[in-house]
Amino acid sequence: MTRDVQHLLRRLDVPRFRYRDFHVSKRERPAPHRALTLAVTAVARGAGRTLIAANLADALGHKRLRVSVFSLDPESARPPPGRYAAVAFGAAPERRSIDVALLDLPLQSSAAPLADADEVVVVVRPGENIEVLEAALARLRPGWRRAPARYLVNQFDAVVAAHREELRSLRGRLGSRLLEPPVHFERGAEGLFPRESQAAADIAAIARTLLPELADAD
Amino acid sequence: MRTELLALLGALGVALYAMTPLDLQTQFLLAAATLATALLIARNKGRLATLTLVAISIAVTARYYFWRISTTLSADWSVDAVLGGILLGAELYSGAMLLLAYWQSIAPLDRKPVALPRELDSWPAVDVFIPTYNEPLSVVRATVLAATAMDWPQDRLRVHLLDDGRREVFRDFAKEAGVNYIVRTNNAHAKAGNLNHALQVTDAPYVAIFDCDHVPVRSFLQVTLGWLLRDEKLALVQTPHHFYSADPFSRNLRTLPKVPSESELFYGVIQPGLDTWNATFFCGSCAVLRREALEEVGGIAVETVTEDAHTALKMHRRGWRTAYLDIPQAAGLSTETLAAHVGQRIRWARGMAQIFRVDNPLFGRGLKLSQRACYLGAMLHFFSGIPRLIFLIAPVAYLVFGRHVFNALPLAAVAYGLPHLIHSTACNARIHGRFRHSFWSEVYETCLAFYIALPTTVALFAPKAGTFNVTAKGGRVDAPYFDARIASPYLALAAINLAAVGAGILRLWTGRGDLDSLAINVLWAVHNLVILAGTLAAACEQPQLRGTERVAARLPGMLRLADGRTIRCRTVNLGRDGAALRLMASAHTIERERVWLSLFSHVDEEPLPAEVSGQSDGALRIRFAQLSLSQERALVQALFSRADAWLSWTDGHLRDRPLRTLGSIASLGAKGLWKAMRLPSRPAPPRLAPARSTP
Repeated sequence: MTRDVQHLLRRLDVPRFRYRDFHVSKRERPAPHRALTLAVTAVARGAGRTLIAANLADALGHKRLRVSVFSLDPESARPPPGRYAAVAFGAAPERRSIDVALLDLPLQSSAAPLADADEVVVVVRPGENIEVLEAALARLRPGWRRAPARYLVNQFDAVVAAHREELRSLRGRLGSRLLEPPVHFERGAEGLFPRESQAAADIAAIARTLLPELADAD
Repeated sequence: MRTELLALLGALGVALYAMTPLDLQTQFLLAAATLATALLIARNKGRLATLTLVAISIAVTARYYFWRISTTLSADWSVDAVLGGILLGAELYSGAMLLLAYWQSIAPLDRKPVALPRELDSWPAVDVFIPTYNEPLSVVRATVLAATAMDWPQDRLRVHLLDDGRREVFRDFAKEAGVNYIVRTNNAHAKAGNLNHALQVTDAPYVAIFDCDHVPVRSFLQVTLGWLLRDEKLALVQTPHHFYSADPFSRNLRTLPKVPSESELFYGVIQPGLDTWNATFFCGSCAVLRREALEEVGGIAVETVTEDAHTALKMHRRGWRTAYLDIPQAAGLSTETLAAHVGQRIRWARGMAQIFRVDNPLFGRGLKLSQRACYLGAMLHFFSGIPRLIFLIAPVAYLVFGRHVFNALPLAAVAYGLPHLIHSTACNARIHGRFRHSFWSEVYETCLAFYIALPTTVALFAPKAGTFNVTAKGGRVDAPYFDARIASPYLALAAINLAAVGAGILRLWTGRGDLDSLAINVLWAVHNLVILAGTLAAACEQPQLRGTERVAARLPGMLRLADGRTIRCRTVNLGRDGAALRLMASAHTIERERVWLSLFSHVDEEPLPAEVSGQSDGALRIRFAQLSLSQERALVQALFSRADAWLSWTDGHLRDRPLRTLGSIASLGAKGLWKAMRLPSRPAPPRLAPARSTP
């Protein structure tokens, strides 16, 4: 239920009054789910996997969580510096306790880390073929301990009508398996998103969705 | 039984209080003691204390009128006696109105909405009627788009655009927006006829009606329909008319948000008060009606020009109930100018007088006494023109002509009259203060007095007589000006009162006339001058461009710059034409840069193309480019459709303190007069709106 209706219901103050929201029923928020190991993955190169992982880690780090990003892909770029510890491919992790481990790996790599993750976030760009991804995930899934992977749309630009169309169809198809909101396209973003950018706000909202208890613990 | 007994005891007490004869000194003591008692009781804020205060006020007023009638009238046919009789008539009218207003607002019903059934399948179909005649398409578009976006099963939400103007562009727009377009071959009975025609070609069991500039929020139907489903004898649910543009008084006098606007008394107190007595009436828009009830009374009433109130009256006569929900679930535009406001009220006054004549609520079958009193109050209210004019002229009789219209010792008049004024003013401030500050009613009534006096009188004697809507709707106000044409009666009245004050001073100087009488009459004339000054100030029209009204909404948004960067923002205000934004970071944007604004409301993101038009007070101003239909839909939904869009409309009012209010009216009036003298006095541009055909 969006804020305007919540506000109305508060003001009405009628205990048994029900409201049916025709505008958000299609994208209900998933149930809170506590995750400690987050895998951020993608099929396509350039979907922004490492960037999303780094920004997510930084957003959680700003919530006073101890976060480490593990690069499990030899070809992956080094994540930009932020409020988290970056562990390069093959390097031994520092001996320190962490609240959240973010695994940054392509979907094509070994399935073992994915299977152990509490949450798998698949980064896609608008227009990417979701069928291929679903098929790949279906092959991987039998060994997984946890919930099915969730999708995160990156580089979303609402000015492009096709993007909006794509988002609508993803909503219809994936329901609560689509992480909301989409992360908006930010021109020239190579490191952490600028604080005032919409993408930074989107990442913060997604962090709250993924780790409701942890992200609110200020 | 207990209530009746209490009422009887109260009536006896009032009668005893009113009729006990006392000498002047004892009367002063009684008045002081009564006032002290009332002040003590007033410390308690409860409902019972209010009732007691109203009873005291009625007793004090009754005592005044008893004294007034039994001792101050002379029974001959002298000039003094005739003038005195006229004044008494005006006083009796305002006494009756005081009683009826107490009756209407003594126990406002705080009705809450009722939930709809859980199963979506049992929600009924609703026809949404949007009647239009000559209003511009730009106004109608928002209403239509918002109506289609109401939260209701799409297969049971049928929006109809009822175009009495039969305009091609409206037909095209209706098709584009996906709503039904209804026209008829003639314009008989204007809006009522338009609605009745649409009733014949539609069939949903419920009918929601919105004037073409009243934009509903998305929760409108879910908030209102519950009562209609629960109570089968309920004919209609009315919601307040909220205006998102300032009315002429608020705008020209710049009184927002401190002083409640003109419509708040009616929708904040009177309608909830009427609801208590099952006498809430239909206001023509922002309401849902039951088709069965409408059909039983033969559709919307066509006998008078206030078809809405008359329709409700007919329903009440047949045993239907009505309900009022004091939750703003739609918003519209106020009248643009004082002249337009006066024109609108002339129509209301004339219509109410017509109903009073052709279907008098005092007589005929089917109404309870409490309902008769409510309708009587609603209709008599519009007969205030002549009494108001009498009060505005009365001091002249003594000050200029030396006539004693009030055959009593001046001190006695103070001893009886002043308590009546104090108690009724204080009581009204207590009951109405949140929604109408003291003395403002006098300003509003004075504005109309001259203009409604004749139409109501004519309608009383010849209810079918032709139209009096001679005051055309004003055009748009581009530059400030003083509307001397509409203000001419107030100017004349102000001159008369000023002359009266002058004559009074002359009398004092020359020693003709006693000091007490002079003081009372001069004070009276000064009070008149204060009210008239407020009225004149209201005629100083301030510019307001149609289509540029802004709503102070703080919505989260995103500004996308031409270079691909994004900046989060919050709207400071938002309108159909553009917005002011507070950005999360300073934008080094270039003038006239192309940007896109995304508003994160309850709908999917739809960036609105815009152009940066400037920066002021730390806010970035943008102006929307030509919007596509889906972009316009997104804007309308973010702007008008939010369920909570109009909930905070009464925030920011000052508490009513009668003396401070009188002082502020005086100072507003003085400022207004100063302004009026320097402004051009060009009347509203002669762009008359075509008159609606009336039978």
